Amino acid sequence: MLKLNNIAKVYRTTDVQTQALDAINLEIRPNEFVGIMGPSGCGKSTLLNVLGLVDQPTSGEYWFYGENVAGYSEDQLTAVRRKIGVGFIFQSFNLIDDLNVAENVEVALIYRRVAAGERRRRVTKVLEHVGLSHRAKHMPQQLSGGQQQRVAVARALVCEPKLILADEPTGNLDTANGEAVMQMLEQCVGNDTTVIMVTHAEAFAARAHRCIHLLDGRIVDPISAAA
Amino acid sequence: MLRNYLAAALRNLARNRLYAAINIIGLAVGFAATMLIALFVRDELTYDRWIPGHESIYRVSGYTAVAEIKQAQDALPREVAEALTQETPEIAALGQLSFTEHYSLRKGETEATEEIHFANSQFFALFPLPVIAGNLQTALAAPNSIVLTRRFARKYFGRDAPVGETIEVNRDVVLRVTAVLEDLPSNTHLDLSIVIPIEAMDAIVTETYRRDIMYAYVRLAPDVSPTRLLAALPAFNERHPAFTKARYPYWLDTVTPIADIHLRPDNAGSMKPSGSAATIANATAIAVLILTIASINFVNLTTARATRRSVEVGVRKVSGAARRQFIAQFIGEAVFYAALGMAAAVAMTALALRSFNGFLQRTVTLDFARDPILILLPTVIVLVAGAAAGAYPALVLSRFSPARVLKGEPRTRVGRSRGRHILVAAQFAALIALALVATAITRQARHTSTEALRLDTDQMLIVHEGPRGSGCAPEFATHVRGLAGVRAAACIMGPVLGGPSLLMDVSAPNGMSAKSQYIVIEPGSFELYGLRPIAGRFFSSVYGSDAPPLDGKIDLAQNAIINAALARGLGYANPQDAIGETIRFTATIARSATEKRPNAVTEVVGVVSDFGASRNLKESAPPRVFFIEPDTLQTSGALHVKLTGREIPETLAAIDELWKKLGPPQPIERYFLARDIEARYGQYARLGEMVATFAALAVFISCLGLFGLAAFAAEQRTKEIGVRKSMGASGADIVRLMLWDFSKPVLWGSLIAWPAGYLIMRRWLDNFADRIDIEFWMFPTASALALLIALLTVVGHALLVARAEPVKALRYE
Ligand SMILES: Nc1ncnc2c1ncn2[C@@H]1O[C@H](COP(=O)(O)OP(=O)(O)OP(=O)(O)O)[C@@H](O)[C@H]1O
Ligand SMILES: [Mg+2]
Repeated sequence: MLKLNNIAKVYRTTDVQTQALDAINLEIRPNEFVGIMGPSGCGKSTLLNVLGLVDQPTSGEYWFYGENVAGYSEDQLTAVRRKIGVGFIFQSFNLIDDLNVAENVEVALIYRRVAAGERRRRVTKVLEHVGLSHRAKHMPQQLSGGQQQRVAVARALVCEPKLILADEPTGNLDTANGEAVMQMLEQCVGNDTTVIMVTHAEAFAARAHRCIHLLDGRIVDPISAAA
Repeated sequence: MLRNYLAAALRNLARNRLYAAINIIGLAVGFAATMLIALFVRDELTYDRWIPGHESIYRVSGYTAVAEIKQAQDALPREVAEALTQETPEIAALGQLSFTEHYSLRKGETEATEEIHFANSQFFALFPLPVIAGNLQTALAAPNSIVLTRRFARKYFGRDAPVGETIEVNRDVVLRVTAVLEDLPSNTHLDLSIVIPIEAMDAIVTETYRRDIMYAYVRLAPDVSPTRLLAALPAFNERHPAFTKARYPYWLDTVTPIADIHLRPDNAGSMKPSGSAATIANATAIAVLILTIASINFVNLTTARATRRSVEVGVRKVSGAARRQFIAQFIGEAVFYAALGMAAAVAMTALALRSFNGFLQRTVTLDFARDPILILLPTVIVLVAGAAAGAYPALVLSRFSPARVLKGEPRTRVGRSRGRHILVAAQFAALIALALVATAITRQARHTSTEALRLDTDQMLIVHEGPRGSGCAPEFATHVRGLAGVRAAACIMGPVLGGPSLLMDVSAPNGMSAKSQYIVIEPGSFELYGLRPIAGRFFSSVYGSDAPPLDGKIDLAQNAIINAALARGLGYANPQDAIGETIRFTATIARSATEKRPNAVTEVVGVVSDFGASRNLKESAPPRVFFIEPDTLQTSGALHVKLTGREIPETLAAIDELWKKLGPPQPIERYFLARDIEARYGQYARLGEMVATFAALAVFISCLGLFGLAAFAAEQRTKEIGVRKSMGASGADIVRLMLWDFSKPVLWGSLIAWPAGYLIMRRWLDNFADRIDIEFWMFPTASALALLIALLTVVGHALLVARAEPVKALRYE
């Protein structure tokens, strides 16, 4: 359902040109839990952004649920993302400072034409699921880092996405909080939902169904990556 | 969905209270200033347009001429207007109105000299002014009628509708109130408050020429174009040699729609000082500059603030928001801000309107119900300013790739974008141009009412000039001179400050001749005004030949003083050359003493500078000749009294007491010359003050905006500042860093503002014959002012920031 053929991504700034992704061939099946690992700057976030349709590859084919989306305009990508449902979780939480917890979660539903009553019901349910019902009216600044990331997870889950993309979701968290987030992600897998997670932690990567290793924008096998 | 946006917008506003306040206050002040100027401009442009049926009412006028020199006159002999009406079928009705006359009104204990007009019975048929009591159409039918405005009804009768009550004019003629008018708004060329039928004139006005010359208004028959009337005028002049060869020769040549009278240049004898396209253009330019400054502030601050919301944009984008939704969101927010600013501006305008009206002597109102444009225009401004302020951040932010924003990259590029720098430079350009224009207008206004007059007008009191009594009655004048608070006094007949007066033809032995004003003075008059001869000498009682013998024999020699303009007009390159020359003069509009000497010869003994100015200021002081004529002065001169400036109230009371004892049986009329100066040139001084005030407001708005930007820039660079400080940079280093950033736009702004400012100044000053020079220092000074404002604002803010602990700054991100 996700298939990358010879995907490349080149960043051009005025003086330098960075090959962030180079000849990526990858297939991801439904209900899979995939980990992505690699040293800093190897292109993990770039790959995730391409997979999640928030960034455009420079060349190659990307089959996204049966559609080749490479070369789509921004508006077209937005439409596809709305249709399929993609949930994002970031290392730096990225909660909107001016909205409270419930409103932050609600943002994910607003653009998908979900009726107001239904939105409220689903927000309540998902906050219960991540254990933050009692904090619904709090502002992000009033929460701990672990709580903030749970809000971000709730925001990713509330639209019942088929694809969840997590970029170092546990990177800024202590072990206990990291474990909690990890368990939530594991619960999501299955039921037609795929999870792709970037992580630096071997222990978390080991809990994925399979792990992809990146080095300088290319997929390598673990042995050579270690070398 | 809307709730979600609204929650974000309102919390953002609350969290950025400082920005929000700065933004809304700046916008409100800018809008309010613009609105006041717009109301003023609208008032200027709507003169007489509110009078029902004004479209078919025209003023007919023409010119007098002597030796082929035309002088346009707004008023004309009554018989000319009456003959025209009779002979021209296109004219449906004729309304006649006299000059403003000053006579006393008395009701019981209340008595004062008032401005009075005489009008024919048709006048109010042409001008159906708003009436609060009585029937205006028949109000002037009976010769003993009087029509008052509400203000004077209250003054003399203590109530609004004293119809049927009587009042005395000149303590003898009894008139009955037939109608009460609403006080007239400021936007009319009519300066009416008390109107009496022409038929009552003979009993009140003694001088025939004041009874004979009047304004003539005509209503044209339906479907008659004014050009047809205009085309008929030359033939009319031809048909009536009696009119063009009369003692007051008059040719008709002008038909003016009454709505156009205000913006025509002043002729001799207009009722109110006219407005000018230049004033309107300047006021509009200032409004546009202020609106520009306020809008640029708004756009800048909104953009700056919006860049802090890139995370919100990123998250919303990832959640599926389309670009147009952002554009709608940001524009919606900006329009919301602009609407708040406009609401505050309307409140400010309403509060300021009273003093604004008092100051500019207007009756502008903010009546939304009556004027849909007052709702329409602000709405348009709010939408346009809001759209402009919202569009920029919306377009920039919505173009951000969410991938980048959400990675927590340094928040923004927009904050330092070239677009914002250009806007700040434009703002400084507007500010500097405004400072330049304000400098030109205020300096010219001061110049006009002081140096340009070339007269020492300080503490000068004028006592009664006029037909029924003169302050120059010898006994009264002598006693006034003897008062402790009086430095000196002199009798003068004629306009000292300049203005229409009797004209005469003067010719020199070299064959040249010139039309000249004619002013009667006595020895000491020039000295009283601090003047010195520029050639020859002034009059003095030691020279017997300065004054004519009291029997008024015509052929005896009499000395004259001329001004520099007349000396030039008679072909004397050097004023000294005119001394000792024998000139010949002929009165053209005969009156009193000059009638006795139709062809007198006189010797020039002195030349005086061109003091005073023409009323419209577009021409310099006219040629003038000065004589001594004691008999003329005694009947119609005014006593010019120079006070010492100490114990003024006591001195005034003593003068009033003397008048009661020695003067004619009517109230004293006295005023400071400053009143005349104010009446004539006050509009320029007021315009100058208005511009200066608005310039100060613009400075205030700019300060707010700069403070906001400085705060924003500093906040953006908190981390950088923290790092630099931890590396050992001092507070001063940080301040210096910020200063340079804010000095650059001033320099760029000057580049645009100097030529633009020069052009606007030039155009304004072209309206004045006697004008200040545009000096180079004005330009760097204006820029320096802008720089100073920028620096003070930034230093003020930067000092606050630089004092912050480095740790705190680092932890910010
Ligand atoms: N907007 C950009 N412009 C230019 N180069 C970029 C941009 N974003 C990323 N890069 C470059 O692309 C490469 C891959 O970046 P990416 O963010 O995908 O790395 P990463 O594997 O996620 O690293 P990390 O583990 O540190 O997050 C890097 O060399 C980076 O410098
Ligand atoms: Mg990364």
